[in-house]
Amino acid sequence: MVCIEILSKEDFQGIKTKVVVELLSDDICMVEDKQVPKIIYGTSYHNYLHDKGIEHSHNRQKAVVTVVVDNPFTEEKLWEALEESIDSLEKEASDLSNFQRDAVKVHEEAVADGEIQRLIYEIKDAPKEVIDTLMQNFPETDLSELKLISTPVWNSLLEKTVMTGLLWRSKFPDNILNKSDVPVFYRKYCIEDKKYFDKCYVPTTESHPLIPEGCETRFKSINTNVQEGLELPEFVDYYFVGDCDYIEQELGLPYKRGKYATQYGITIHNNEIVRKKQYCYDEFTNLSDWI
Amino acid sequence: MTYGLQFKNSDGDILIDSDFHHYHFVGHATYVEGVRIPALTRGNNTKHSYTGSTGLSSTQINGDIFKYRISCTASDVPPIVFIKPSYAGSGAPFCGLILTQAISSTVWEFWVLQDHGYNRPSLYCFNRFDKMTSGQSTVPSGVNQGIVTFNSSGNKTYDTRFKPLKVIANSVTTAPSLARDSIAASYNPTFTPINVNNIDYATGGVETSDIMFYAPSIAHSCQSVKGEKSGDGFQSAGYNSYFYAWVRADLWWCFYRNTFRLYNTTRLQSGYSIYASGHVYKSQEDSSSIFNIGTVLGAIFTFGASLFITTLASIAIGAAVASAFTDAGLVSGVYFPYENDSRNAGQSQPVIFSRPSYYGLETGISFESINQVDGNDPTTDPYSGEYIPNFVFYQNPDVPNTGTFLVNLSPGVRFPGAPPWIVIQYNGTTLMDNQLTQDFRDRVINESYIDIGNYRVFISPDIVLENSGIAYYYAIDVVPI
Repeated sequence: MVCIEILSKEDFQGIKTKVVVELLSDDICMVEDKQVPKIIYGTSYHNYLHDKGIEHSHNRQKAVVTVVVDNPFTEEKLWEALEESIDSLEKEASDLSNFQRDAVKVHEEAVADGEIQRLIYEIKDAPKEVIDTLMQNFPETDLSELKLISTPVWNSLLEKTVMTGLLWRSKFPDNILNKSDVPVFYRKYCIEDKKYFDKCYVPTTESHPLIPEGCETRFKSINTNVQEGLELPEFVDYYFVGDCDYIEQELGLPYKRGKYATQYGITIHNNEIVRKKQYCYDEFTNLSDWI
Repeated sequence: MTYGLQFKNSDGDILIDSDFHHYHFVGHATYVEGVRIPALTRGNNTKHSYTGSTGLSSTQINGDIFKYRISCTASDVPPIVFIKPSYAGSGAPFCGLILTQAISSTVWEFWVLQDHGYNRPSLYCFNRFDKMTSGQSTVPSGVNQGIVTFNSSGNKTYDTRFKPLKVIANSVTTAPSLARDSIAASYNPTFTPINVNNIDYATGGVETSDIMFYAPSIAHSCQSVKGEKSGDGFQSAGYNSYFYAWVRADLWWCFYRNTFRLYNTTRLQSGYSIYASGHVYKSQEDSSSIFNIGTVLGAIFTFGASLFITTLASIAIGAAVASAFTDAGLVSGVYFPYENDSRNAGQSQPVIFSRPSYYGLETGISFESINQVDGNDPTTDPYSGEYIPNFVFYQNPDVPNTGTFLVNLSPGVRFPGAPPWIVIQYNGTTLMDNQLTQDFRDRVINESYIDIGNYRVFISPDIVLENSGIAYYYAIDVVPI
């Protein structure tokens, strides 16, 4: 539906009437990247989305057009002159792609120990071989539960090939404590074992002696939901930000930066750093501002 | 008129009056270059704003601006220029003379805007005798009979030995009020001009291929459409998840100039062609931390009400084209003088029709380069074996079926002290193969012409197309004789 408001109407060269009209489309709404019926502000459903921190959006479109109709001016002539604009606006306003940024292909580039690269994609943009690998090894996976998926990479501590999937917030498991405090929830798919475990990112400011001095800690990881039969060593990850030059020097990492943002992580096992990670973002992505 | 000479027709209309300057054909204006106003686009996007549609719409196609020049002896009285379109009909391009300017005391430049088509029009120029160059006013050889009139000052005002302007029809036209009555809201808006005014004329059955017209473009129109997308929502971003509201406003516009086309043997159409077009967009975004829900929700509601579509022009256009005009040779600007209106559209203007066949069709050989007209040896290594001519005439690639026309110096000129040599070939026939004489060089320097076979080559050293520092490139015009 398109609402119309006449902004001005004036005689044009004595023989026509020039009318400036504003056209406004109805809202088109999305919840976790899926189109939904219009979400009305202030309703319990809208409040629920906010309370749970579930990603959603309301979008609308407007246009201002000028038409010239023959005198004497009538509303019928105006509607006829606006017909194409209304059709066009309705069509454009019903297309979600008209309200989304161009798809970001790579949401994160992570490099472990300066050499092992892992890329994270939106599910719909992931290379076919990435999805195939996941589905061949975990055929029960419901892809609609995942927002992002990574390429498979070798984890030197686990001695396994691991794929990482980011769950939509609405799909977070219920069996974790303080769920509302966990903003990010990754599912770690261990390819060789065909089993997974979940990794919660818990906000914290606590430091650790192994984190380079002066850095700000943002998260530490908690592993949970380890599937039966999957054996994992004891380890914890810390994620932090700070001066990139200093961190690279302290951790002995090569120069590696994202154009938009760069963040860091370390894996601690037996009170030693066993993995050092650089997270690079060349533009704003679903993950770039997460720390 | 105390004395003088008048010729009248059977209705008593004066055809020739010795007191008045009559216009005579002085040649085809020389094509110099074709340019286009560059795409005027600029904008920014924020984190959540729509990032598509950042260029011009598919119908914002600026017309070609063809520049032509011709010599004369004064900058105060312009020649009259007729446009001979490349072709006529319902699919023919619209073209219009949008600028006539004296670029020096002896050279006039003309800009013709054409909306589409590879072939450009020919310009037939007419001038008064007292404004002609010596070459243009030199009586053709072998023509010894006719009538010449002079005014009381003794200046020649009419000469039958030349080709006076013959008018076969005239009419009056106006431009349409707008190029289109509406431009629909879209992120690919349609700007193609569709409105035309028809001007009927009678030439007694002259084919359109033998009609040219004089109709300066004095009307213009500017039309625009505005779009806006906006949204708000919640963004998961880990510890820094936040609410946001964004808006992106877009403005597309086209600046049209009045142009014309020969529709058929009795009708000229007056319409518009796109001279310049642009698209600017601007995004703004407001966001706030997840921990300030109450404040943010209020802000989101009010943010939507402050959409800036109506003020976009003042925000974004000013910076839209700072870097767009690099070497277009055009005056930079946004060309958005007003919105959805026109100027001079209702003003009556005369249209004059004539026949190009009266004056000789342009051969298509439109310019040459002449290296070192002083006759000095070229700067090439005489022993390299590489031959660099002093004179090169280029065929106009836009006018087909004209054969080849080549002028250069013989290889002997590469050696110091050797006299320059000139070879002129046309369609494989050698027209000239002589030492470059002082007479030829004088004609070049004195802005004269040289008859070669059945062609008169006008060379205009005032029209320097390019000066590379070691070579000068001059314009010429070739007319069958």
